[in-house]
Amino acid sequence: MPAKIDLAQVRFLLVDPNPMSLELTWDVLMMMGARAVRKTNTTDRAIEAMRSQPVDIAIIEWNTQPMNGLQFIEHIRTSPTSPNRLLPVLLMTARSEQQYVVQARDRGITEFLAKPFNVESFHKRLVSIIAFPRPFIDADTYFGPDRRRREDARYGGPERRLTAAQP
Amino acid sequence: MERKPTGRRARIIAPPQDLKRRAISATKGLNFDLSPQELAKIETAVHKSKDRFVKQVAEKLKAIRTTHHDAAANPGLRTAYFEMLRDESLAIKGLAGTFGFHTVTAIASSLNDFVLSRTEAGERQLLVIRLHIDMLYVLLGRAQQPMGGMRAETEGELLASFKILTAKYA
Repeated sequence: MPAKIDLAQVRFLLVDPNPMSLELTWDVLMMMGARAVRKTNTTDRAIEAMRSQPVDIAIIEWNTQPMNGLQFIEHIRTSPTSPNRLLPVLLMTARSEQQYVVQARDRGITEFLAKPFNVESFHKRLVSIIAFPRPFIDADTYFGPDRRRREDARYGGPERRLTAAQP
Repeated sequence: MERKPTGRRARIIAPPQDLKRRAISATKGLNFDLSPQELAKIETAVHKSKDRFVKQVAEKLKAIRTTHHDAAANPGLRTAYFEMLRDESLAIKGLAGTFGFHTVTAIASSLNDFVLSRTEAGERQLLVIRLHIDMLYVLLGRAQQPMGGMRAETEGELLASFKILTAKYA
């Protein structure tokens, strides 16, 4: 029997300063079967919320205050006071140009979704986060999910990682 | 916070499996690839919010028009006005397409590009901004019709015209 994904078991935190966008994401998640979805419009409140109750997935906009989405991700990944450095973070933003995607990836986002989004793409990102979690890389200049999504068979250089990735 | 290289090799941390264990089920929830029925059900959430979106954006555009009028008359207000335009156009760009208003997203995107790093504007630039706002208003006014009641060719010509206009008066 093919596996299913039960979002009723997932605790979400939404961080978005735009009330309309926040409501829409909340509505879609509830329609997908989610039950534990908290909403905040600032990153300060988001950090408070993460400290008060565990969160499984954070869904954040780029245009947040007082930290922007990138600073928020950096806080999660590298701050000594981070509530959970391994927290999966989905960044949803209308800043969809490649330069923004690269910046976000290099700060340690788990998944990126360009807005305007469609329901199917949103669901695919959630499946990827939950069903196919990637190993984390702890390097001098990066802490976050493995950015290598596939093995490059043509790579002939030295292995720069301490241990091979877990299957 | 900038992290400096020390030459140590990267460490690989196995991903936590707790979430996967809890949320993957054989019987409950949605398929990994949504079935047409599941997709249609979830999309009702989007359809329900559509009218609210149109109403809220129309109100925002009304407020932007007022601010535009003030900023046109008083150059001292323009920095704050451009800031407002950057935020609002990005928000409209990011939402409209989800409701099927792809032309609205394209015009909002054009406006966002036009004001992205703008610190000053002459009469022509203000006119370009005004045309974007009016166009968004018109498209939302015709929101119940597919593609804002526009034929695909007209839509293409419209977007091409805005591209020429914004490039000429950048």
